[in-house]
Amino acid sequence: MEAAAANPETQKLTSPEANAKLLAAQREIISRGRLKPFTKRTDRHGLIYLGGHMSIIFGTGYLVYLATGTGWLIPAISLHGVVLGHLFAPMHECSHGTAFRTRWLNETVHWITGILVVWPPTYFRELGKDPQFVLPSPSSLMDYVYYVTATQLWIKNIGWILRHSMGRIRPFNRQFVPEDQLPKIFLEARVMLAIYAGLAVVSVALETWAVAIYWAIPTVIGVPVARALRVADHTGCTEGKLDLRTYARTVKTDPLTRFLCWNMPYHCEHHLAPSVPFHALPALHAEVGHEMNSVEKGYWAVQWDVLRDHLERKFRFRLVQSI
Amino acid sequence: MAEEWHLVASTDDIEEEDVLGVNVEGTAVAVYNVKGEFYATENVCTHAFAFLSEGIVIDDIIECPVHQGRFHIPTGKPKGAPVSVALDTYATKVENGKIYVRLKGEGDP
Ligand code: FES
Repeated sequence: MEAAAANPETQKLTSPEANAKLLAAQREIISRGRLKPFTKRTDRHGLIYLGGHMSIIFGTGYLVYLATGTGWLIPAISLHGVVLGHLFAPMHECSHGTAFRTRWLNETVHWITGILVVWPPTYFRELGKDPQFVLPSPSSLMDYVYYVTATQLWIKNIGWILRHSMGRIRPFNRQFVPEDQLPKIFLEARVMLAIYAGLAVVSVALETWAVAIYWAIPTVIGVPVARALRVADHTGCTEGKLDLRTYARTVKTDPLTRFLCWNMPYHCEHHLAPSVPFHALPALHAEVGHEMNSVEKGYWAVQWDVLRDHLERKFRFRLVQSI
Repeated sequence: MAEEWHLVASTDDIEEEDVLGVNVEGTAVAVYNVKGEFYATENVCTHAFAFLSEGIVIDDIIECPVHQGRFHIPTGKPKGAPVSVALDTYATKVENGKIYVRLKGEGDP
């Protein structure tokens, strides 16, 4: 489920015509005047969410510490990893420049969270400029497993970091990056690589497992949960068409998940207007949610729908073939 | 060419931290209110086509509505990816509550 790679027309989607269509589609749903109050940036909300998210990380990290040497270690590491994996949410929000009003604060958090979830932050920001950045439905069960387990993520992201650090970029990926951003993208890959290598060297030199136990292993174990939520946000929504009402899915979920996802379960509203900061998405949902693709289901029910839909399509295909 | 100021709006037409798109002799111009000071730049983003008057003013920054590229309003300088080319800026003046804009080249010797 390579997001943008599935669409060979991607380069055309940032064309002037596509941009004009995108804005026109937004205006059909909400006028600039109605949207404006929701676009106000603050530092306060970002700091509260960041403080809360970090406190939970320290809390689950403490559980890992307490569980070390006991049979509770694996559950504690898994829980810690799920919370760490959700740092993708602030990284994504910062990539839009909407997490904090103060730019340096936004960029600092973008970088730190990018390093922690192994997403090159500047490159991620460029990828996100593709308005058609949606996840196509899984083409096979293996495809789904490959995506959700994050196998695809590690291969792709580590591949990018290694390639970019050597000053190279694949032609497909190149199309998302303006010429003057290339040196920055190569530099960020080198900095990230140096940080990871530095952590490995220090761990070996000090003979400590701390980095592995409190960050690397939990992240690998926990990221699949965040990946599964992303599948529910997008998979099966309008593919290849700019229909902002059905472009993504707004999913009903519990307050803790919503908090850890920095309100990204209001995903349809987020794609309607990426300039609206995360903290205003519930209010925007109250304003236009009735027009959007809001499902009265939780993440796991939607997950099941995605899988069932896929299996049914496959079954129908086999049936047609056998007739 | 004689110096030519074009009346574009009243100061009341643009709230603080807001922007208005106007047309001056066929040129799309964005007029901003930054803490009571009025500025003007070209209205079309230099990245890919979008009207900046549809965007958001944050302090002295205008954020493009399409990819959130950022420009410094007083100087037109690019301030955030993906934009890298500066905006043209235009002179403004306020008289009796009316905002006037002078296009580039006008009034130049
Ligand atoms: S069109 Fe303005 S940033 Fe892309």
